Amino acid sequence: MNDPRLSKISALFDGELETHEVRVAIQASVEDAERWRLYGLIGDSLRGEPIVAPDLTVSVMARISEEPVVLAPRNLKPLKRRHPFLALAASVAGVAVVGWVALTGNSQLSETHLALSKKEPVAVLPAPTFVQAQQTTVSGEMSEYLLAHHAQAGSTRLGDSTRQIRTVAIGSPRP
Amino acid sequence: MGEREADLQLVERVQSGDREAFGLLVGKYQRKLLRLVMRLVRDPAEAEDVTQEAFIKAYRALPNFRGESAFYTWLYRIGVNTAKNWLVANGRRMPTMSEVTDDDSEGIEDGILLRDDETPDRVLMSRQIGETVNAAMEALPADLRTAISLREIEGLSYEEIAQVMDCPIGTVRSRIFRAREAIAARLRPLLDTAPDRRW
Repeated sequence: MNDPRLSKISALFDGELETHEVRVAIQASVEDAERWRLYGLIGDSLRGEPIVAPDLTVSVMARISEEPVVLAPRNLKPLKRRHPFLALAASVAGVAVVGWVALTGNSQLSETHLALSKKEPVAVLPAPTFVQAQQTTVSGEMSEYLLAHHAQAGSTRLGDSTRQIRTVAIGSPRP
Repeated sequence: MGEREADLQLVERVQSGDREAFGLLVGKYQRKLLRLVMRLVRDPAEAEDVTQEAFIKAYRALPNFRGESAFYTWLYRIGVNTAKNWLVANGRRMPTMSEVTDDDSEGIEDGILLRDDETPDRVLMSRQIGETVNAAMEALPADLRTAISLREIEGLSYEEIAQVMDCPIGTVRSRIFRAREAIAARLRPLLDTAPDRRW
């Protein structure tokens, strides 16, 4: 009973935790869901609210286990374009990374993104963002630039795929 | 951090792929949502089905939840819409205002919700839970009883309770936690021996 993690479950239930304590509290609550549900039962009973039904959590979570995992991409701040060439170089670098991820099937980028997102405690949810893919036909001049850049980077995988480049823009949802 | 922000933290965790965190939201709001749904779908068993369906819909829609409203408000809307759709699909009409009790936040007399189709064991379990909690409260030291009453019944924040009881917020947190644990210790044997162990 003197476990500090348990008292965090109680405080989280009331929304009375400091931000830096929330992650540990959520983890403790997930691991001790029975205690969490009991707290809810106690509160309802003290308020005289009728306990009209057994716990639905198990049946709800059983159905949810059959559902696809929901994921919501976080907002990323757009790069500030201070110089046109720098903006172009940044876009090219982004394309190269996306291309590398797509071609190699490397999932580290998305995992890193998720890991980073979990480390940032936030009090307010960001607006949902949309990942939009646009196909852009690359001009001959651009194609040469990309090939030259790519050659310097030491990779030989882009090749003809630079002729049609998919750009993935992550930003605020369009109005 | 308030309760709304705490719920948003849980939602964000679900949105990051942790389904178990959604179970915490279900555990916290299931009874409240069920009571709401029962105002529209009178049969308790059917109301449970509709409530479950509402939670499933909420889970699927979570990527679209922006945090502009409180999570429960958003869940409330889903619950109402799910109940309405169920009524339409089953050829039922919406209950009139005179048939629906007024305010979800007011205490509802047992007599209103107890219907002919309520099972005796469910009625008995509800009353036993209430009696056990009351007995546990009576057995609490005064400071613990006061702290949890101010929180659960009066809805005061920890800061407000600290002012009322003239003690640090940390002491309030500790007292509420210890009160809950003492009550939970009495409840567990009752719930473990319930015929339907889903309580």
